[in-house]
Amino acid sequence: MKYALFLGCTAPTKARNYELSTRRVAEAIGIELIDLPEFECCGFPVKSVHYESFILIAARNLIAAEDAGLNICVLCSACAGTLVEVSRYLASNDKARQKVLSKLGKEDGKYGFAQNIKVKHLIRILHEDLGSEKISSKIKRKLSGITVAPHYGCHYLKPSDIYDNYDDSENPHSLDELIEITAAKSIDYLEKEHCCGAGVLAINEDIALSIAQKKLDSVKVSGADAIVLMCPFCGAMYDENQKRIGTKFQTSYNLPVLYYPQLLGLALGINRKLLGFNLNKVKADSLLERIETKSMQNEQCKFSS
Amino acid sequence: MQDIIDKVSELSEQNLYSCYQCGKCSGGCPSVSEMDLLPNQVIRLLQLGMPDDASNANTMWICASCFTCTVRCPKGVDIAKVMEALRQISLRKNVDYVEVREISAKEISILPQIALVSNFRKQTA
Repeated sequence: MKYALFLGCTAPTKARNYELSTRRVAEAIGIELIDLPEFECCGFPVKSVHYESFILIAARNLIAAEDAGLNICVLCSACAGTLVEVSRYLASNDKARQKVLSKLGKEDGKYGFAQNIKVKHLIRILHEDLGSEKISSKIKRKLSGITVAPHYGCHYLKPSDIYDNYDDSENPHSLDELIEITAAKSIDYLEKEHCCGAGVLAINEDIALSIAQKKLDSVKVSGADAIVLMCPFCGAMYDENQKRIGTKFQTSYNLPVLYYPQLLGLALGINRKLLGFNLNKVKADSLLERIETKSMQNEQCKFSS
Repeated sequence: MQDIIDKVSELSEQNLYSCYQCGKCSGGCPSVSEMDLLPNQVIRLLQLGMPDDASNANTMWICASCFTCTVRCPKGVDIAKVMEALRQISLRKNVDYVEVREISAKEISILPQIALVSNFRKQTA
């Protein structure tokens, strides 16, 4: 199983723990990730300024993958939404495709976009292409006794028509299922499918932080040991800004925020140092120690029996 | 006025008149409590030929493009796209200008890149 890895801009600068853990986990479960030097910004930031440039930037990335003959694995949900939307648009709209290709100096007829390549979020690849059986067979350490709150974010499943109605955007379950493979418990909580608020962060910080605060409160009430997510933008809200939100609303959360590959990596028996836990802003040390003590006890049980 | 409403329809590729004001978009919106007008009210003002009232509200800027409304609309109106169109029209009027050089290093270190860019696209155009 081979994919071109599309990092986007936020993951390699603000969420390197996400990138590190993804690479380790991919290696361990047999997904080959190829880095293409042509990959750059997905185009999303200019969407509301200049729609044609947005299409052009996204198309340039899609062409690079098509030239390499690879499907794309995306880490950031906003990048996934952009690349999926544009690949479908260019596959079905001849006029727009011809225009984009002539601007990029490529001949028409060679590129089919969504007809030739598939763009998928990492989590969808793990859930849909790899599947729980294959991942389960690689699990070395069960994370039983750990409870986590899954956060889906928005662009992973919405708008649902561009994602072939994969999963259910109103009642999603793919991340829950992936969490349960590790034997950790995935819980339901109030506002589970809500937005993190990052989209409003630079427009009105107070509103963005209060949207994130509502969810942090709900997770805290649910008693989860950590939040598990899959988008570096959501990570910026819950991990990077968690302390600020706590100060602003006179409370303290101390709630570790894990990217899903970090959680899966622990279950695959990968050393925590290799999963980038030192880069988590809210330290997950006590949670990690609980996991490690438990797995050591299990080892001893096996040994003595 | 009709010009602006046609422009919104053209940019968003949505038929604003298919909205029948059920309010599902506003019911599911995560940031609705901060909005001057509910998303369905914005659509209603556009239907009634009052685009200025729609654009003067903070609604389109508070919209985080989470697409909950888009997914839920029983009439298939992509409301997030309508908000995007309103933003596009508004930012060309050059209001709330932000001087990029005056943003402090601390703010730059805290904000993710896309957040900064979304600020530029709103306030520096």
